Amino acid sequence: MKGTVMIVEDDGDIREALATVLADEGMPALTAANGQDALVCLKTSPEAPMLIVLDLMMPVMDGWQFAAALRAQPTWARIPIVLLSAGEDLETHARNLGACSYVRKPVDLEKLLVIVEQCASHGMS
Amino acid sequence: VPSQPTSAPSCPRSGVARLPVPRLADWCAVEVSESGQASHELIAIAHIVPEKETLLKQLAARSSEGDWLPPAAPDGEVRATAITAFAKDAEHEQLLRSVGVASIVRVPLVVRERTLGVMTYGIGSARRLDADRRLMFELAQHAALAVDNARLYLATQLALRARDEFLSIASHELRTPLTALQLQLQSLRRAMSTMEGAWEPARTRIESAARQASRLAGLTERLLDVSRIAAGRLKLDLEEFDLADAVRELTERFADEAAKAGCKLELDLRGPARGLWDRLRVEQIVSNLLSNALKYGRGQPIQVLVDHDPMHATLSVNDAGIGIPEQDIKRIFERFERAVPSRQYGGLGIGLYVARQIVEAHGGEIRVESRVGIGSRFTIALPRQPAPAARREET
Repeated sequence: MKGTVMIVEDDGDIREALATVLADEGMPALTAANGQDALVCLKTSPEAPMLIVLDLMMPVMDGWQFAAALRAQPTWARIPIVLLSAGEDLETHARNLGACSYVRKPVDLEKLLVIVEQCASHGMS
Repeated sequence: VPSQPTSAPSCPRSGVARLPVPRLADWCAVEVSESGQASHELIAIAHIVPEKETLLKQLAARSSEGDWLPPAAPDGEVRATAITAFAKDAEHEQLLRSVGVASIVRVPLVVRERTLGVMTYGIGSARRLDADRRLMFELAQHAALAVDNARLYLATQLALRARDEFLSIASHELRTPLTALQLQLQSLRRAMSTMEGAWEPARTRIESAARQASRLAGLTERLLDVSRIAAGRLKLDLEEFDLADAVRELTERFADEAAKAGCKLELDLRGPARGLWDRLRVEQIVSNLLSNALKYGRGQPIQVLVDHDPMHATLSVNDAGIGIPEQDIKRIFERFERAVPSRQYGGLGIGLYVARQIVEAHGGEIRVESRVGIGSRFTIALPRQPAPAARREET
């Protein structure tokens, strides 16, 4: 079963491209430009997303701060996170944040889709 | 209380000012000015009485612009009346006399027809300086050259840093739109592949656009590598794998390119050659060597050999192409260097530089044997167990 995916990414072009691609795959996307927007979006959404694709370096509220805020809320704490970043040491960051996986920029779409499906099903089981 | 000169911390009792003290003068001061500016900065001082060096600084600091010393006659003598006339107040006059300004010679620091500053020799007692003037001018000439060299060196360092910063920013900036572009192209390609009766010309064009975008992404990554290396941030993700397997897989990916170049890839893979390496980085080196061999291989067969001993795994890529002149062999592993004219062969001139850095980060070595018109053989040797320096850093 496929549900909504949330994309938290400050670059508008990447955010929109990801949203289109995931929608094509039957996963409509909620989008947010930074951690703070994402928290607002989560509060106002009728239904929690099945997965969050999260950029790390963002203005206002970065990926680390957002992940911490998310984990502090029991309703959202179990939503799987997939890190999406151009930064170094993604594996370490993913481990530290308790993310279920990570995707390096530039993104390989096929890889991303496989990871999204894996993490989403893992989160639901 | 006289104000402390602002340049005091950068004003050491440095060698050049000390040279003429005490033989030629009681004290010496070297000032430089930025081009086009009237104010001078004191960069070196020395006084025969070291405690008086502070007084010298105070004296210079009293007049931030223009002269801080009374005018001297052509023979260097400063008349007592001139000192009194020059002093702003009694304390100033006292300062001048305490430093000792009975004779002063000021020699401009001139290099490449530009005046960089002035070197001042001072003597407390009235004594004729004529005999020593030639030496004073010579010393000033040396000081001028030293100042000029230091400035050129600093300018070069700043320019290099600016280049590295620019590279880092530019490659990061390029990567963001590229990511969006690649996503769109990959999604189009995906849609096309499942579409019944998709328009064939569109499919091939999308394939081609995706290939070019991925080439751009590769170039951007190489630029990023250069800035990572410059900042000492090249890190290895070690895992165990078989080099022979990795090379076999990579050569399959190069099949199309090899066919286009008219080069046959002949493999001799004596595996398993297992070791603990960074797979993506090793693939990057192999890709670089293969694409170089195809690029410069003149359509001749290319031999790819993987071998191993208990300590090392080795890879050789041997082409029968244009070869590399002996004088260029050292250069090709340096940053932005290339042995061929850029008008005839494309590329950024960083592939082999990055390859060498990756190999060395693994504790291995890369070498080349080449003869012009005969061909080149690039060999990398990687230790199967990582050298201590190659252990992964956690930050």
